[in-house]
Amino acid sequence: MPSVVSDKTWNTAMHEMSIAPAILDLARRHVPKGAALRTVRVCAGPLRAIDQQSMQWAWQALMEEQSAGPITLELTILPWNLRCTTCGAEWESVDAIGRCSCGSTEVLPTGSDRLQLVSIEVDDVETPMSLHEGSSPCRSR
Amino acid sequence: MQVQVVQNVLKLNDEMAALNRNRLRQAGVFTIDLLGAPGCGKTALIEATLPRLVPRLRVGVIVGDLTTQRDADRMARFTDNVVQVNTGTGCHLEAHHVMEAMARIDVGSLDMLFIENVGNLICPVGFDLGQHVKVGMFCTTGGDDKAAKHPYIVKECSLLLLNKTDLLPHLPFNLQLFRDDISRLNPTVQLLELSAFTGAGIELWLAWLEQQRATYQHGLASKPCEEHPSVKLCNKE
Repeated sequence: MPSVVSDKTWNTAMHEMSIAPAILDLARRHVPKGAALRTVRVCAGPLRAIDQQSMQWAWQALMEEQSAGPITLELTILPWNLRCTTCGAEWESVDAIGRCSCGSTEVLPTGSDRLQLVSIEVDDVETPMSLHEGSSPCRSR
Repeated sequence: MQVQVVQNVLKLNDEMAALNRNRLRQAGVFTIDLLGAPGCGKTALIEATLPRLVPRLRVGVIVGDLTTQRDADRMARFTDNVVQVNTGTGCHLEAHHVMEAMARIDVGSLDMLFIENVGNLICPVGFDLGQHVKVGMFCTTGGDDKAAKHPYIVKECSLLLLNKTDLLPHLPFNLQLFRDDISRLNPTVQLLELSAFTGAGIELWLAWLEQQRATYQHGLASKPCEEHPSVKLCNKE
């Protein structure tokens, strides 16, 4: 008889709804002692297929579920970078497949699967602490 | 006050996946995360694979579904090492699901482990479970535009499968368009065209599994190995 594992935790019907608590958990880990979290800044590569509206909805649902906030989520969704393999032209696009201005459809998409908590805003404290793994901000390229 | 973070949001999941991966490596278990849309034939493929592997190898299966254990019951005909994960409304498996499931089977006794992910072409792709390879499945009944519409799975998987090729004569499926879309999105990925129902192409799938497992056992588990002479890239034929 197969064993069964049932997950009865947070509703993860859309993947935005499983990403939202991950963002909040990670953000809270970086809040200096005594400070209050006010804003969370995230960037997401196009491969993650995160919808802006769905993410905001999931965030609001999470705020209500945890009686948290007000904590603002600022989400930047990065575009695809497309390169024409015929003429070498490169451009940004919201779609992964497109047609080059030269007429070619031989277009190679490169997009990141980055899903990164870039920074947070907290209420000022007297002894600020800054924790970071790197200094790269969320860029479109 | 702004605090710079610059950390992967799924850091916690990835840390858990790393624990899973280490445990599987220590046990020498080659692990496949099988992804694909609902109804594309993931369960049918594993059902067709198990009887061909089980006499020689000890194989386990972790099955992810929102509800029911029907798929696990199907697998249980071939192996005792089956765990059904019911995600409730969750659209994908996460590393903690796999960790819980692994606690319910004798991982140390296995040679190979299939993780059949929840039917979904999008969400499961981005969650590391601790697997060694990801395999993405499309099917002819899903339409020839699915690769183009789901670039993440095309780019992330070590192998792509097109199932239900036995139905091609009855479907308006443009096989060359499908192959071209895959080539465009991921020029180096292998595509196997098969039918879990009739068994067509299954031998190539088994050869790929054996090749990957052999490579893994030689310490190269995290990268797909070179193309086996008998496993040709189908869209180059």
